[in-house]
Amino acid sequence: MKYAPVIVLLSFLWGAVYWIFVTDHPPDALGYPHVRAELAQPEGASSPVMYQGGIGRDRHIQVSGAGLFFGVVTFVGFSMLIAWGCRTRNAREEIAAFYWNLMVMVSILFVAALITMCTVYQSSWDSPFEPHYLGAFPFGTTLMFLGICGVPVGFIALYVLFYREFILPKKSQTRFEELVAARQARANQHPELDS
Amino acid sequence: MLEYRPYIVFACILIYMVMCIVVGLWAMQRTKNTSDFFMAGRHLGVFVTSAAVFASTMSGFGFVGGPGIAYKNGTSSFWMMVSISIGMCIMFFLLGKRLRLLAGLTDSLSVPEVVAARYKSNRTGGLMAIALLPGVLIYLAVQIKAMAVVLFDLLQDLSWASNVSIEWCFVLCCSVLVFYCVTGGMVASVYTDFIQGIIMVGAALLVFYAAMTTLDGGFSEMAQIITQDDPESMQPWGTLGMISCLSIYFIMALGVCGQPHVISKLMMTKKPEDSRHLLPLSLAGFMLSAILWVSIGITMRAMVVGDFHQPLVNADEASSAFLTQYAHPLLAGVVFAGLFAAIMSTADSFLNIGAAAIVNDVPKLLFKRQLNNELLWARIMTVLIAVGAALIAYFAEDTVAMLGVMGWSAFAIAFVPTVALGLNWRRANRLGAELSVLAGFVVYGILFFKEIALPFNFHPGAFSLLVTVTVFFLVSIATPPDVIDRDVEELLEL
Repeated sequence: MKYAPVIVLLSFLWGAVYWIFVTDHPPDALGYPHVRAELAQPEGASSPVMYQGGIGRDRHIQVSGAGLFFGVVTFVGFSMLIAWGCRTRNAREEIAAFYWNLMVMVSILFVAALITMCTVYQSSWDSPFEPHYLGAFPFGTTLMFLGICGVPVGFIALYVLFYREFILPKKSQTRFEELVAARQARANQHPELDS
Repeated sequence: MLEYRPYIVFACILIYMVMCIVVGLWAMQRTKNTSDFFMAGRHLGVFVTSAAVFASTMSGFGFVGGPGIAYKNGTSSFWMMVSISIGMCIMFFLLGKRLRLLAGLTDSLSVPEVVAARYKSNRTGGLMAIALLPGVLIYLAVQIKAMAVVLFDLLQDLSWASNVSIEWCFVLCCSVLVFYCVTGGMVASVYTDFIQGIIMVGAALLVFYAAMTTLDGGFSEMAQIITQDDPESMQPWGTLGMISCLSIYFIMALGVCGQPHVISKLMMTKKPEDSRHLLPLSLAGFMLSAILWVSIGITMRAMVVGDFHQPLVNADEASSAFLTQYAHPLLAGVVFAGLFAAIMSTADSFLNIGAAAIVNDVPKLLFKRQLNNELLWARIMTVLIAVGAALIAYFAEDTVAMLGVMGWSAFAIAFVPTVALGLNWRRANRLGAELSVLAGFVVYGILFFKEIALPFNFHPGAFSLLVTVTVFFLVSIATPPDVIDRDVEELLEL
């Protein structure tokens, strides 16, 4: 049962991929060369140089559920990988609950950033030429920069602040130095094994 | 001053190349053995290593291809950039400690050697060394081609140098690159990376300012111009759409911890605990230099769709078009030097990794012998790899971006399960590692060479990586665990 989270994660990922693959593919799902010919294929260009996306609702409405599912599973999977990388047998157990709570909170924020971005994007479908702006960019795009790119700063903070408690405790480092010394001693005694 | 623009730009690049040669000569005096040549003696400081990590990650693709893709596909291209923040977190959480500890314990000089020590299998390590060679050559060819093409474009503006052919540009770029790598090895590579990293960040910040002031309304006006032309290209999924962007995010984020030119830097730090500071510094450096990607990409698309600028004939011209039209000549000079810096910082790492694979890993792991005078052979091999890559670059017809994405995916397939997962999971075994890489390459090869487009443009690299990880997990739990060294086994739990 200890592999259950991995099996569930991989199953969900493959499930998401399957769902995407069986969804009807609208003709303009991947964008198309710009409608202004001089932008799409200027004189001298051997292939289209600029593309455009077209109507967001038309190309995304069928796949938005599968895409969101794939995105959420991916984001949860990345958070799980990060949590998995913190395992050490010399972790400070007395603050473990605090640390893992923080880890879960950052992970939830990370997933929430994606869901919020998708929701905001979909809300722009009704008036695509007049989206809400946050700063210089449309709300959804700003959320991509601040949320999806920005929230991992929380993981970095955990890595830096709890490095000695959960990443490389002093006890682990001491043991590492002992292992290196033991290996060197063995190599000195039996130089033929070293090669 | 504008009439001297080509001379100012050329002078900046010349100063930069001379600086690289000086660093190479200085580093040669510090390179005494193969450990210095391949691992910089494992005594690098935090700032030098972090600059080397982010400069290698950014590469010429980010400085040349990034703005080009933003011009072509709008915000879709930014998914490659934003993926690096979580990608670096995954890399440091999974490998920052364990890779450095295992390299320190087993005195490994390269990633394939670490793999051999982890799985107690020279065959697995040797296969990894062989698996990375095609990727090294392709990636190196990409960098050399980008550098030669940019130099050729620049020389066309100089009356006395406009007759210089593209072939001579290949020779010149290759010579500078080879000189400082051959003389100084990894010591020269990481110290030039450090200088290159600083130039890249400085150049990106200056470009940000120049881009912001191109139109009176700054980025807000540009975003509105692009939105009025095509709303989707300014929305989060850009022109490529949701699934394509998410699959690119998947392969780019998870793929970071499979890039040998990046993760090998984690093995070079003076102390294992240095990774604590490396993560924030590397990511900050990357994000600052990535400002150039966003700034130029958005600006050039807005200028062209707003009819302020002629349409580009090739999307990769976005950077040079912006610099020659909208940037002060001195800034253009610094940024072009930064562009060369970005390209060379990646290229030198690949030269080093390739030389290590041929001179150190393959003989030691597959044939159980070590070459006499390994340092000399390493230098000779560096020259040969560079010449081979230059020939591929010269004759290849594929675009820089296509080759770059292919190389990134190939490395991810080979190293993500075997190294990133294998160093954290005791139950992983050599059969799982070998079969997973094989399965991943077969699937990716079929999709790539048969040109099979997956629905919604789901990235073939992402699909192949998913296959690789699944095979790695299933084979490892279905077959008996390997017997490995007890100290290595204990280290995996530390």
